[in-house]
Amino acid sequence: MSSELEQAAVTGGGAAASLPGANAQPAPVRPVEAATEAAPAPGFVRGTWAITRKELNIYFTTPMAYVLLGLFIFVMGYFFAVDVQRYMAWTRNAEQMLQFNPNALGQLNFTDLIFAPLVYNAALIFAFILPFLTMRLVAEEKRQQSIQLLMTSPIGSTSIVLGKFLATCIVVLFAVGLTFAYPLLLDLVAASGGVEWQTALTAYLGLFLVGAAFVAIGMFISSLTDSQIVAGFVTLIVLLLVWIIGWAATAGNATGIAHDLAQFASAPNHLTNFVKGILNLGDLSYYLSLIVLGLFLTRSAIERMRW
Amino acid sequence: MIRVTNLTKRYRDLVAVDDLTFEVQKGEILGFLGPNGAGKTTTMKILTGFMPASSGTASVAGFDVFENPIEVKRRVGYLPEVPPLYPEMTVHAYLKFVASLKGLPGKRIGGELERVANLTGVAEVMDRLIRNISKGYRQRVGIAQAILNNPDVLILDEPMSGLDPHQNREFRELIKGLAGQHTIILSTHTLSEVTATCQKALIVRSGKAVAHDTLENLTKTDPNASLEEIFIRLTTD
Repeated sequence: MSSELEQAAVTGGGAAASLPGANAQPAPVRPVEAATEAAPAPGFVRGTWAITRKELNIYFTTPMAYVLLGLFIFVMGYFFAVDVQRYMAWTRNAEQMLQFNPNALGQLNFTDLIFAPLVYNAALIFAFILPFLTMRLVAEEKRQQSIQLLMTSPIGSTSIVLGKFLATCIVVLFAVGLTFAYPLLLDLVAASGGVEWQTALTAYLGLFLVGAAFVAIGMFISSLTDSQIVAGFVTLIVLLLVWIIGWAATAGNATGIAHDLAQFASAPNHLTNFVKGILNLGDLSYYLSLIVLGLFLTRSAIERMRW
Repeated sequence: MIRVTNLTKRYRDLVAVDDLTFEVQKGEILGFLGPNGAGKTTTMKILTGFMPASSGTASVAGFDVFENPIEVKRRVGYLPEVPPLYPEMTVHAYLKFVASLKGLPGKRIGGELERVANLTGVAEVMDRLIRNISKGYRQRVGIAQAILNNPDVLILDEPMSGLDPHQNREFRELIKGLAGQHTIILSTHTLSEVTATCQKALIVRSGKAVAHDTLENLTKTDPNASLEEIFIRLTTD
């Protein structure tokens, strides 16, 4: 029944579509030729969105996104439990110390003792799991040669890069969204005060920016090779380096400009203010610069494939 | 419809296309012949706007490939040597993606998918993952994505590879059905395909054109020789 209707709709559309060209072309012998003139180029936004939808389709029809999101939430759950246990231990201690330090309990709060370390841990887990998302972004297109389809379609390289980036950021957003369960839970059980939501949201913004910056770096590395494995492995190493470079500099007693540079390059250092609920322009521009640089370099790498 | 003038493409120390000049009229089907490595794929990649030439010009429907790539790309359907597929996607999702990539408005996509699916005979595998369909079907999905959005020009790089004799015959019919409205360049090694589908043939050797004529004229030069013999003679030193 419905297929008959579709059939009618298709033939009807085809007949109407052949009208404008009727005087230019002889009457079509087969319904094959009954189509209108090629559609105009999709434009920047629609082109980008087409790529984003395709990447999301692949993320969510293969187990990859589910496995990584599951793994992420599992490890986060472990850290959350550990942080809550520690908080409870400290609370008991503070209760015993109440006679010496009447403010002891007041100095303890969910945001600093549970939520802040949780956000740091989430960012570090990102460094471990995001390479698995980004490794295939460009490398696999090169290996399958499907990149030729993208580069001979009427959209620009910027749309290709941005579309892939946005799709992966949406998966990151999912991951960040899943962790909302923890502050919600804390807020529910809080006897007083609860979670400082403004601080929490700023921290989440920081966490998302870390994720997005990691994605941009990973996508660039993926555009340099046609092997997913190589791309994933190199990305993992680079992200871990970006994570520990600050600690390494401190541990290695670096001084002067080397120390300052290492501290500046270190990703977690720029998360500190976000976690405290402070929006700092310098920190914001650190992550945004990483993102823009990653996107720009990926675009250059894709353009270079033409030569 | 397609005009190539003094086209040259140099890779580091290799001249892949050497001063190639030819024209394809609207509605013509051109068989693009030549041994492996003669520069067929390179020429096609330049025509589709995938890579720039070292010198010379190429234009499609009056638009220069280098100056107006977007206008060229929206008029060209391209099937590369390896069909550009995503094994993780279903045929339907894949074709829908290509349709949106080509700028087809959402309400026309459904009808257009049905049209190309019926034409190329992939209607029965639309909901299967591309990784699970046979090589012949993959090739057909590749052709389906090329003719989506009804482009004026079709550039098909060895479209018959991987098709069985039945599919070969169907494909021949399909190409003939597309002729007239579409201008088609197809490269192939199977000379019988050329005699069956093309009006003209362009034979290249080491990036240079050695013959460009209608099939009748090509075979007229030596009435006793088959196209194959002529091809062999033209492409060996």
